[in-house]
Amino acid sequence: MNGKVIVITSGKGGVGKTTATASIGAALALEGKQVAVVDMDIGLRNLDVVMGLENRIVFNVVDAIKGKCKIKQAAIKDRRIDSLYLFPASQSDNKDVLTPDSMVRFCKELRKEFDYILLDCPAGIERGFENSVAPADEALVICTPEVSSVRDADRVIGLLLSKSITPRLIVNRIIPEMVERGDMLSHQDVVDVLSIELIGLVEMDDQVVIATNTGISPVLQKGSKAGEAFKRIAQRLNGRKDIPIEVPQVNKSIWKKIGQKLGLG
Amino acid sequence: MQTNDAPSARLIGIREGLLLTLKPETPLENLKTEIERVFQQAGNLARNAKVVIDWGNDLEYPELEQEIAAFLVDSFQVAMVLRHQEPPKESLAKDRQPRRYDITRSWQRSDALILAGRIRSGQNIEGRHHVVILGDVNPGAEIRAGGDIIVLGTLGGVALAGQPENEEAFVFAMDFKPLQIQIGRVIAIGTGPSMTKTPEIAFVQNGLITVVSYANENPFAKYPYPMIR
Repeated sequence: MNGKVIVITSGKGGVGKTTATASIGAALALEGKQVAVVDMDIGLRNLDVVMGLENRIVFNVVDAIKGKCKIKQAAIKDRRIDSLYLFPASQSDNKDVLTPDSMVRFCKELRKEFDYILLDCPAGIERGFENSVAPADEALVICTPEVSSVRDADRVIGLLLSKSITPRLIVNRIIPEMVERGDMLSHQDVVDVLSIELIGLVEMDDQVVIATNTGISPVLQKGSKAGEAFKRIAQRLNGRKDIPIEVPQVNKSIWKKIGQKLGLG
Repeated sequence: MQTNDAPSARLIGIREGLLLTLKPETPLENLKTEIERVFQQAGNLARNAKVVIDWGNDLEYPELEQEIAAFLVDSFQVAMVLRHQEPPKESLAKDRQPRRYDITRSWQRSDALILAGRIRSGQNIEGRHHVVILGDVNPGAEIRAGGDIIVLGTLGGVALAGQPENEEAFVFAMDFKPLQIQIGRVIAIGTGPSMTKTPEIAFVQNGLITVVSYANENPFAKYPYPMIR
């Protein structure tokens, strides 16, 4: 097996990297792939909490890289999806304990066991970013429709391009009602500035907050718009180029539609 | 033939050295005696001096000049001998200037750094002279130029033209919405996207940065002939 290493990054914090990593990882595993998700945010680990696996951590990714345990011992199997494994971050170290070279070696080992290795990159463009990007074959840049997020994503895209990685874009947390009112950047505005290939649009979804707190991935919840969007992104990553990118729409009730027709809206 | 009223050689001091005025029609032997006479009067002043020969008219006498130059160097140890030349008239040259722009094709070079592609946040472009960007400049990017900045795309970042202190420089963009503009030492902050939706140009006017629509009032259209920037 020769797995693919995909880094999920954004530059700015709090735009949904960790949620996206967990969701895309779960969706890829549901497609029948062997998937590893690695929390690269050494010192501020979150991915284990989002996946509901924090109480099972014995060894972490730093232990595995430093040789304190076997790689298999650091992998935590997901509660519901059999082919999904988590490598949690260490909470007591900082980003300097790892080097880009050690990450390249670690991922070389993981490639033998998994189809997809998703690296959850920390915010910022310092050591943690460099560690995460060094072994990556592909990159997904997460961006929300806010000016500050677009600015940071632009910087990160520049850095990735300089490392010969052509990233693809996910626009997260779109609120169609605000876009329609003109209070939020549309995904088209974001793509115009960043000018990279779009791989998915994710709508703002309350289910994600619930999923994060309960540790049950949104892709496992029926009717979660974000979950469906992440599933489509996973399918596209998996080579299904025929799946169209769905633009989140305002769903109006039938009475509102009639009202608008009559000029009451 | 020798006339008595005016001597055939005269020596006066000028800024560059000594001006020797000679009458070209005088035979060489007579000239030499006359020169000898005036130089003896000058005495040590002539030693190592720069001597300028003036024939009193516009004609040239190359052989005579060589002969006298050799004689002066041999006999009086002068440093060098030159021919008197009228300085060119400046007013004439000025009149010809505009026409020269029309006819000449051998422009002196105008240096520009030309880049194609998108300039992203955090990327800094620095050019010693003009900078031309064929593409967009995203917010957070910075362009610094010694001369003008021309963006054939959207300018969303910071543009510093005419650095450090050339206030003649301009900034041009197809879609002009920079975060900040600096021309020479004059700074202006961006005011967001313009309503005109036309290419715009910024330059310094009365110590302030002025932005005008390039389509409506092209500031270069008033030049009568092409100029190098």
